[in-house]
Amino acid sequence: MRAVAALLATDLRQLVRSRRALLVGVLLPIAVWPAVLFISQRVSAEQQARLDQTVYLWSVAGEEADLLRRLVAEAEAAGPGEPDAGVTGDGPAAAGWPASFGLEEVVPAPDDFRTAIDEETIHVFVEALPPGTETAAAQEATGSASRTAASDPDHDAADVGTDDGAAPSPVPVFRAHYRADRDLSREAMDRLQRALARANEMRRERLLLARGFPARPSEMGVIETRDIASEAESTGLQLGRFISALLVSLLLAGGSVVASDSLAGEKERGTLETLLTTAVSRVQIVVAKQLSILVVALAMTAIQLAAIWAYIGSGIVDLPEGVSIALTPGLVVLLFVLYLPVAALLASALLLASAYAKSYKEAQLYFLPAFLIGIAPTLAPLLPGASLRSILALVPIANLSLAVKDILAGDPDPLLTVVAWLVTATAAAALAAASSRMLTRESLITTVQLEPSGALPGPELFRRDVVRWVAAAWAVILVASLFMGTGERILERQIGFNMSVMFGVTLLLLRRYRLPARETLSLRRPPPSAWLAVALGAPSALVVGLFLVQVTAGLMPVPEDVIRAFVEQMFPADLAPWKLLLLLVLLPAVFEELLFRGVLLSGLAGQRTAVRVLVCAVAFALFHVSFFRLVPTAFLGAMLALATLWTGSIFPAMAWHAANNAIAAFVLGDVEALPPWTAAFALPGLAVALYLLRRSGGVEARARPRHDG
Amino acid sequence: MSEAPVRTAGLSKSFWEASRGRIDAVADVTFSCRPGEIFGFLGANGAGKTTTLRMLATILSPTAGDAWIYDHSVLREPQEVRRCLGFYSASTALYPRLTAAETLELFARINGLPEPRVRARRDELIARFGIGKYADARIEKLSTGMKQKVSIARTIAHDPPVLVFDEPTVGLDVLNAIELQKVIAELRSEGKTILFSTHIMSEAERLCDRIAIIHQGRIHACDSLEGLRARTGLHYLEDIFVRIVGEADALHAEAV
Repeated sequence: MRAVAALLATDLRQLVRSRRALLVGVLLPIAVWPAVLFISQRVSAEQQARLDQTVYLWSVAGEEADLLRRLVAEAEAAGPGEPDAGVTGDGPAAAGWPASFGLEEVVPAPDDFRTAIDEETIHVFVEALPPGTETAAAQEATGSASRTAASDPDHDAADVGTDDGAAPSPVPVFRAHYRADRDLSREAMDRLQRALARANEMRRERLLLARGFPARPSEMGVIETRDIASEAESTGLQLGRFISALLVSLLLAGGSVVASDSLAGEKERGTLETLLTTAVSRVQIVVAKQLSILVVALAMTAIQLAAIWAYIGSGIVDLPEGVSIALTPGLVVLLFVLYLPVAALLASALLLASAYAKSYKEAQLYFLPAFLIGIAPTLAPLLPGASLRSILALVPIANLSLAVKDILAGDPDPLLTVVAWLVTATAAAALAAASSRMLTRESLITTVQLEPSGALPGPELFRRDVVRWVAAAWAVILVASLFMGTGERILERQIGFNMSVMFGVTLLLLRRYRLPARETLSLRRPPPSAWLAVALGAPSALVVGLFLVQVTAGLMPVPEDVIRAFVEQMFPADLAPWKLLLLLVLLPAVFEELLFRGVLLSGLAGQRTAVRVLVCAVAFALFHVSFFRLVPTAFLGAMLALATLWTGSIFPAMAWHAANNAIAAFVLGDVEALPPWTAAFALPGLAVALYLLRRSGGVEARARPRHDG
Repeated sequence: MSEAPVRTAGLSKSFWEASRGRIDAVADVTFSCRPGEIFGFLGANGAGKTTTLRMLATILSPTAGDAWIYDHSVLREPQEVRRCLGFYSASTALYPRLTAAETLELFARINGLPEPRVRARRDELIARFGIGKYADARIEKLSTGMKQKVSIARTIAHDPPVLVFDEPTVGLDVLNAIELQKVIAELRSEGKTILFSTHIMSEAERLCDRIAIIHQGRIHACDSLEGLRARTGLHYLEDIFVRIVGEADALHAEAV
């Protein structure tokens, strides 16, 4: 540990002595922050002031022009109105009408209103058309959008905007032209509509009063709104949404100051070679480097935060409206502890990039992608559906971002927060280990021309890398599923994407490690008894799996609507049966088997059977992202793995998988339908199936590898 | 086992390059050193000298075979090997923003010298190499000659029994080169075992007790200068080298 401390001290000493690094990394940001905040504040304030002060110019032409003029005049004359619908309190509807709409008519109306709007001599132009005009539900937007506004002084109903389709309107039509891409035009349109709404409201009131009805809801009852979320909770939520992105940005910026020099710079200068000839182990080198990046990242972040705090505290910069920060010392300490693994993970990632790069400049190239990849998971709190109580708990950085948001909003989940912490910390350690391994890949130690490699690409390297590849594919599929959203044909898109990724990875691995396809994917003819086993085993295993779902539902209850939503998504009612067959049965049965029971299972050769089956099953389960299906899917995965290992062929597993999915899709309507006793009948069936597989006498597909050195 | 400070058996290193396929940089190199001798590797560029020495220093790992420094295997006990070894190469650089004194302290420390002795050792080295005047100047501000002295000092900072010098005089002017050779001779008289690689004949002649001639990854001769003279009947090392390499090429051509 003395060596690690000595190396860490060396790195820090070098950093502190580098004037340029200090200037760019520390002083510049501190000076730039207030400027950035100040400027953005001024810009938005000026923009708002401009909009408030402006007079909005409008013109009207047509038969009903006078009617419109009267309505606008009435709205202006009405002055500031009482708040809408007698609402008081602090909710949004209590805002009320403004003192003036700021509308000024330009007379005479221009002949060419399009040019007039372009040149901003007017902001809105209205064609006041008589009743009987055809209103189109959808009109082509050609630079200036058209909206229809229908208003009738003599009827009760007053709508702004109708969906009449192409029917003739029974009331006058006010067709207003404006430009959505111009602030003033947009604002003018908005004001005109609100003026008309105000005029309508006034007329409605007069009508009702004249006939003896209470005109305002406030005469019937008063609504008072009270926001029960405390200010701390509301602003806590707001802060919680953004704080992770802010902190990750600062950490990455701080860490990158020292990271590119860390290994890449040392490589380039030749000091890494010197280090590698000393008695320090590779692991110690990596630990020292990681610590130096981590320490610098944390220090820089602390400095920046202190600077921001000082600016806000001294009034140089104001916080955006509505945001107040209530941070107790205890909360600060908690946040520090929670973000520590995030910082460690980012430091590891930066170190890995530095280890991989051959020169200082190359390392700096990797920082933009690292930045984007690091920021992306911090956006999880901004996604509407994202919650810590989902598979996202297993995604590093995203999980802690969500946990912090929940804590600041006053709704923490201690158990899952701890899980999130552990997951992120593990990821950090794994990346650090990868950096350490990078140091032993000699091509990256020296900048020598030759590309040496310890092992030639082949089965050995494959075994070492296979889990990582599968994990990468999993990450890709998971991220894609988050962004794919919902909507039409979501099932087709998702399945299509997932299958492509899985097949792509399968082919890639076969090619890259020069693996024999037939042997790796177990593409052999299975013994005949295997088919009987599948026929028996598939339905039995499915029933047992469903039973397992009920058992786990008892331990970890899943809300009904989650299950229902899942069922609806997986088995959409309106999908043609042949499509369902293809998407849910055939494609998964083939491509998932090739990846899991083909490539992954082969890659685990050399481990005990139990380990192989377990790892394969868990990986398989994790790919099927829904939490509550974890256990039954793992169970199915285990069965399929055993089938493949014992028969030496992947085809029984494919058939089993297909049968399982087919039965689930077509026969069973509801996941929870079966009573528990059916499991008792299914267990013997499954046992017989497994017995048949074991005794099938299939080729022992994976012999233990010879160990050489 | 044996008393040899440095011993190799069948040491080989192969690289894989996409365009050229498999390259055998070092093939089946077997030799051993006696304590307190300067053992030289003589060969053209690309012959495999640097690769061999890097394997001894555990920077590269052998594709086949093994090497032992005081019976510590480079494959199984690389850290112990490095503790017994000091490696110097033109490509091993110093940290530019550390001072000379800090550099010496750092390397003494991380090479396992017990903490109480670190400061003393640093002062010892500063005195020995006459670095006193610029001990607190940053490395980036030193001239080549001064850097070289600091480099040698840091190589022996932890007083290792075995030293490896990989083409140490490359890029040095005559005076500095001679200075370096003097230091190496001094170290030998202190009882260190020194491995020394070069392609400059005069250096090998002057310094080495025994010379191994490496060509295309294999050792084709390994003997003292006298022994080589006897074998080939030639006097100058340059001629001896050309003869032996020529013989090796001829053999290779026949075999192919």
